[in-house]
Amino acid sequence: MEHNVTFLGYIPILPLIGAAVLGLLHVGTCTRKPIHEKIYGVFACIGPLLSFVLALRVFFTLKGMPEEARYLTQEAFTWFQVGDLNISMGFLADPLSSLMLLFVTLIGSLIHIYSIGYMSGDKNFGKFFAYLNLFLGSMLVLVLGDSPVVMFVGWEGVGLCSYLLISFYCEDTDNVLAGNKAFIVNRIGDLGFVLGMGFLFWAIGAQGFDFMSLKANAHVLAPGVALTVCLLLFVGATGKSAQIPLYVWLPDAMAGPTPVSALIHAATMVTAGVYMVARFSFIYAHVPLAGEIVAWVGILTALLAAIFGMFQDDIKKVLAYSTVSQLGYMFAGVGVAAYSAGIFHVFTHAFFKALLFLGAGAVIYAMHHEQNIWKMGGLKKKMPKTYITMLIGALALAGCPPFAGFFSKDEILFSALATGHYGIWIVGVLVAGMTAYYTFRMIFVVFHGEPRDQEAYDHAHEAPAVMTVPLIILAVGALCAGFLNLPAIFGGHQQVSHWLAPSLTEHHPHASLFVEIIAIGASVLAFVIGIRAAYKRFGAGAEEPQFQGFAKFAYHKFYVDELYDAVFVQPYKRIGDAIRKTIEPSVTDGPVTLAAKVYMIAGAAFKVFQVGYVRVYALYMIIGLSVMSLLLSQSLN
Amino acid sequence: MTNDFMLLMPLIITGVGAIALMLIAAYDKVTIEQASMASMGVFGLAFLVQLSNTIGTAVVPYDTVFNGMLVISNFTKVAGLIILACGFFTSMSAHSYFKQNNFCTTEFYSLVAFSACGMLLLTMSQELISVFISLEIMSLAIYILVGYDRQNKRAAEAVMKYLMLGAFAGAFLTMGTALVYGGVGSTKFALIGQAVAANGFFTNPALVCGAFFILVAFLFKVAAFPFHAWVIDVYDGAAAPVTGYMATGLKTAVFAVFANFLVVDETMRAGWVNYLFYLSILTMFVGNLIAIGQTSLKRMLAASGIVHTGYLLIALVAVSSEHFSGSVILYYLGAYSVGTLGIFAALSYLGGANEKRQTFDDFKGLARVRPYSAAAIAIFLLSMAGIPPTAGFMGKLYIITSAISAGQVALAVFGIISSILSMWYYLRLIINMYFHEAVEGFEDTADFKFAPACTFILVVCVFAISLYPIAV
Repeated sequence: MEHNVTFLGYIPILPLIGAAVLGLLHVGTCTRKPIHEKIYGVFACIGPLLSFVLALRVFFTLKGMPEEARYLTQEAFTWFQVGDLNISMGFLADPLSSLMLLFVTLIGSLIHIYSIGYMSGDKNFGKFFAYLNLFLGSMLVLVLGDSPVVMFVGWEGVGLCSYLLISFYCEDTDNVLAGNKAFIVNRIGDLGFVLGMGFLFWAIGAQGFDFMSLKANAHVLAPGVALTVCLLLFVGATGKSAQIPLYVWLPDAMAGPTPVSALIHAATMVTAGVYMVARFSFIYAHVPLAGEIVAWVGILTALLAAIFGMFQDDIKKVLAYSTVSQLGYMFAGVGVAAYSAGIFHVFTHAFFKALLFLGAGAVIYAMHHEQNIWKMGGLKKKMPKTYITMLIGALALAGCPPFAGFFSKDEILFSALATGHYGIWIVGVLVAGMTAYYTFRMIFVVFHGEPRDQEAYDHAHEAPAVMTVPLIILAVGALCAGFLNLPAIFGGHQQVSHWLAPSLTEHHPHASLFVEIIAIGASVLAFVIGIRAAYKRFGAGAEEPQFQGFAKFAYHKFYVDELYDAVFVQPYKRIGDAIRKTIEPSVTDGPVTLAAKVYMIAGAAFKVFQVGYVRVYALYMIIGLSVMSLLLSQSLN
Repeated sequence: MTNDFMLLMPLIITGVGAIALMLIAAYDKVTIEQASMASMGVFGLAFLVQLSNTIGTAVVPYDTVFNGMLVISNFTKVAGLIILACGFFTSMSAHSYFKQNNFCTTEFYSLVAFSACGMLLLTMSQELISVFISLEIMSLAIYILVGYDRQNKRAAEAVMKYLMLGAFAGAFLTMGTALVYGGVGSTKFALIGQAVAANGFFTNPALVCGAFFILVAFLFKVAAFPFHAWVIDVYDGAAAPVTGYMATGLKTAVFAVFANFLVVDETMRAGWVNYLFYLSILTMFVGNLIAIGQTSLKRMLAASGIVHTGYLLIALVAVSSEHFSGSVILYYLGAYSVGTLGIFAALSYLGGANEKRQTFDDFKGLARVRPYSAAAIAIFLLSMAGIPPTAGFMGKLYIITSAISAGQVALAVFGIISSILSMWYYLRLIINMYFHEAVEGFEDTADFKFAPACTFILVVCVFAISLYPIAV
């Protein structure tokens, strides 16, 4: 079987070309009459759609290969070579990356199409799609990179695009600050990634620094080094995937346009951390302590974000915290070494969370950019398609059988229980109930009851087809994606887990039927309790509550932002200020100014020698020549 | 035979083009714009042929033509590419330059092509008489180009100085040739190399003396210390496109023959390493100190040209005659040429009528009026200063790493110090362009198409060359 192919490179390149074309079109025309939006729209969708077709080709090519040898590689060119480090711009498609490829390109394409409707009328329409294409290209580099270094290129690329798109409405200072916050917090994580990569190279990089060589050499890693590498890489993951303590940027990132929140801050980029941990499963699997830490950080993030999510009044913030919370589940999954369960949750989550965000976008669009749920109400009559699709998404998120989220979340909780992580399992079930509660709180307040703002309600209308069709496709995904990995207890074969098996280093826990039934029963019970509580409180219409005590504390997100500001940001600023005011003028500037003066005097002195008389120049030559001749005569014997 | 013919084809095209340009100058109907286009065509064609010679045909290293008088290697082919590109871009910037300056006639472009012929021959020459002849073909054409504006006293002064000191240096070359012939009985590099290998270098005083004189002539042409003083006045007096051409094409050609001559034999090269070591350090630092004191842009660039000569001398110290590829030297020459040609192309259309804008102060606030031109100039300056990710940075990196791997750590350190010093005058122009209000209105340059296009292409080249990997 031929493993070297030439079409992998096109998958990221196509959207990148699109980004360049759109960017140049926008730059070339932004001061003059703008180009028609349809032209941008068509150009923007070509790249992602073709990438999706190629992703399908990758999938079927891999499917045609024998199971244990399913991988495709492409080495585009040698990127750089320093000492032992030989990095080629190479791509690797194995079952893991092919699954990521499929849903990233599919959901990416759908969101591009949706955005044509959502962004219509924006004066920076072209710029938006240039960034979105650039993002998709970077994300595909991240997924396809055959070495940590190439992966890091994509990793940084998506971070950049995330920053650009959060600050997209840059007339508003708050949005710019949100973009800055996301970028800076992510940089802290990136430092961890870079250090982890450095350690890994130092330890086993000399025999090749691509994933396949690393996997082959991973067994020689000393336990201490492996733990360090795992934890440093996980720091990177907490930044990108918004986990404790670096989760603070994601809720603020909702300042960007809603399709951006759906694509980048829910479906794809934020799951990069989970993907990375799964990619490095060959190291994590051998360091149980690292896995333990990852799982606990994940499940505590899930709990914290679920608490915050119950008290938010901005529809996008509710979804943002639910994303943080679901990401926590994913880390809990990969932490307890159930990598395929974690990745499967990434996969299903991409569908239903993108669906919920796009639905929320349709609501916001209909309500003329109103995001406060307490100004909405009764919208199900006005927007039936949006209501039904969002309801499907909400059921999937809340973990209602047989929607997608139920199977993937259950898989994670079952793995935690089966591997003996009882604490994680209990917190996980608790969070499942809270998820059902805040999700349906949002659905009931927005779509049920009576309109709270009659004027806005009267103007509300269903979104155009370009927006609702992607919603319906995603709703089908949210409804059915779970069946792809149907566990044996329901008569399925866990196709996704089997598909992923060659890429991952994991062994599936064997648990009794009893344990499995307990896991499923607890999840369903938590869902029922959560949804019932939400119905009692908000089902028949409710007024905006005034928060007291713990609720107020949670509404203000435990004052974590303020704490970070006081503990890290302000002291840092003060140190910078002190250096600028005291050390810089007196200590560093002095020698610099002195050196400059010396140069100036020396320069002026040398200017004197340029007298302009040709005889003097000839004299210089003669003198130089004579001195050299004298020296030369020493060498002659 | 056909192989020989193809290898010489770029030279033939340029020569025929030069003669044809000289002939059509007799017709009044041919405008100077047309002559400039024709010259671009000649250089472009020659460049493409040279390119196909370089990459297309099976490469025969050290292919000899004319019974060993000319030797063609990959080194000379790439040097030829750089020279032809210099000619092409010079014609392009001259096209715009002569819309504001009125001393041009059609023969100007013919002389550019003739000097390119001399440069091409010089890169290939492996025999001292042909070195002398091609050097003079090149120099004579350049002398005329420098003094082309006969009304301009500064140009006249420049050509007088250049001619006198050039004659002085030429005398050394002839003298050196005679002494070498007296010492070893041949003027061919290959035979000189054999003689040195057989009998040693320092045992033969006539050869040592002759080789020394030849080196002096080369050092003069590349403006190394202490033969550098002419370069400031001459570059200042010549027209901007001509200065750019001299600073790049001529330097490339002379460095090519310099390197060819040095690597004739390892003992001979080793004998000069000590001298080149001190000369390169002195050249870099003297150049820097002269550049710091200048107020005129062209004089600063002339002085910075001295500094770049210093870097190239480091590269010469570090070459090995066993497996000489010269890739580092050529890479640096390419990177340096792109930056220098770019700045002179920009000066060609921004300089105004009769080059009235000359000093740093005249370019204050350029970024507000001409943001793209200012950005291009800034990129060229950063490349010359050696800031990543430009070609200039990679060039310096290769030179410094090659110096270190040749065991010349001290040279590497001095090179880095010098590169820090050079920030002073490069950044000074950037600061003037970006952090000051415009002092005067810059003319509308909308009808100058070629020089702006030239700067744009060269900006692309700055980044493209930086991405082109070479094996050190």
